[in-house]
Amino acid sequence: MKIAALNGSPRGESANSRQIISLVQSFLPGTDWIIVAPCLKQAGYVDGQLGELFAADVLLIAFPLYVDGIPASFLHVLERYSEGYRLWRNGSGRGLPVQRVFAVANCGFHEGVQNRNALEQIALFCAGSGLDWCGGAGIGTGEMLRTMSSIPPEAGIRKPVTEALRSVAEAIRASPDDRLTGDIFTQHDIPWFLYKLAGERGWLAKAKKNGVTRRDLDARPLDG
Amino acid sequence: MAERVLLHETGTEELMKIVFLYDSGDPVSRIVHAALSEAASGAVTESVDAGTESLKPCLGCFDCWIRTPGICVHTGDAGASWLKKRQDADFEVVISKIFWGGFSPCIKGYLDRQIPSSHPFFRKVGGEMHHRPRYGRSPALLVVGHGAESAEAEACFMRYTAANRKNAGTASAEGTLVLGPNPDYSHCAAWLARMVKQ
Repeated sequence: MKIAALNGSPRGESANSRQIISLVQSFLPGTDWIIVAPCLKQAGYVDGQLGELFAADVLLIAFPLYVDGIPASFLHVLERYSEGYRLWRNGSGRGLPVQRVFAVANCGFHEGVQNRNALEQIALFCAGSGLDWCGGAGIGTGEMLRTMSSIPPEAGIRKPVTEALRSVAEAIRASPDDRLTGDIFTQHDIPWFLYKLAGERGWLAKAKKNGVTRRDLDARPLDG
Repeated sequence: MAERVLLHETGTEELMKIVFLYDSGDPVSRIVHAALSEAASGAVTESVDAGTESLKPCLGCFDCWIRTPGICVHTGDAGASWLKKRQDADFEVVISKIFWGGFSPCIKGYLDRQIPSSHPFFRKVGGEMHHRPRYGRSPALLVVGHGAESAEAEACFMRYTAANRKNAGTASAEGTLVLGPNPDYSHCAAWLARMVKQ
């Protein structure tokens, strides 16, 4: 089975979305992968690889939630994918099975369910492109994907996210017409207040490394 | 005669400020923008045309939170002027073709660039975690969408834009107008007049 993965984060290799792809990949030994991070490349970058991406059995889309939706830079990529795929299906891809699509969105908020509209956008992208939408997952506490990467995936705090991604992987591996029975929304097993506390401390620590104080964080440069 | 937006309802003589974001490359958005601008001719208006301006994409670097709080690494492009114009406005009116249930890519580029106007710290809105606003006041978000490819896309757009308002701290589901095929554009003016009075 060949799986194409689109990392839809402008942060590329250092993104939580890349971590998600790696985790799903770890549950699918023996599969052949092509992974691309096209957001920050020149507009034509992805075009040269589209034929190879279209020919994969499965497309896995991983992306971060930006202002409640898909990042604009990734929307542009998906627009090119959609146009290209429809043309490909009428040309060299004619007669081949329709590509199955799974997606995992992540956000920095606590609740994974905040990704629901973005996943629905991917479903509509599939409907408009002639792709087979097979469902996805919305992960909250997304910043913990990378910060927790040195902890075993089966550890309690990571387990809900690990299980969600395992479910995606199992649906990918199953029979060609298999799909998730519904989108999965979850987050790391950490209470709301603790995530808020840890998240805010994390931002403060990063700011301090840049010489930015707690007071500086509240700057209002556009006032007045 | 179309209704017009004139003054604040606060009783002061200060003129209401409205900023429009639209894409002149999309004919329907162009007409909606003209109709709304006419309706708002008694207010102070600004417009940003996503179809002609040059915008750099959000990099997701978060420097606007932890290196230069409130200021994007991209300075001097249309995103920076959009941020300033919306911050000065009472209402931001976003006009977009509905694209897979969301905003068109060129309009979404501007919304992504609004991240400097939020604060890295969190708060709870309607039971969900959201970022605190950076400023004491923010413009109220009004949205006009058109051209939905399906009923599902229209429903998604309504939920999505309601989430935008929730993210901004206003839990109201009101504030989104979806136009069907062959719309009566005079409805846009009446809708805007009604929304700014709320």
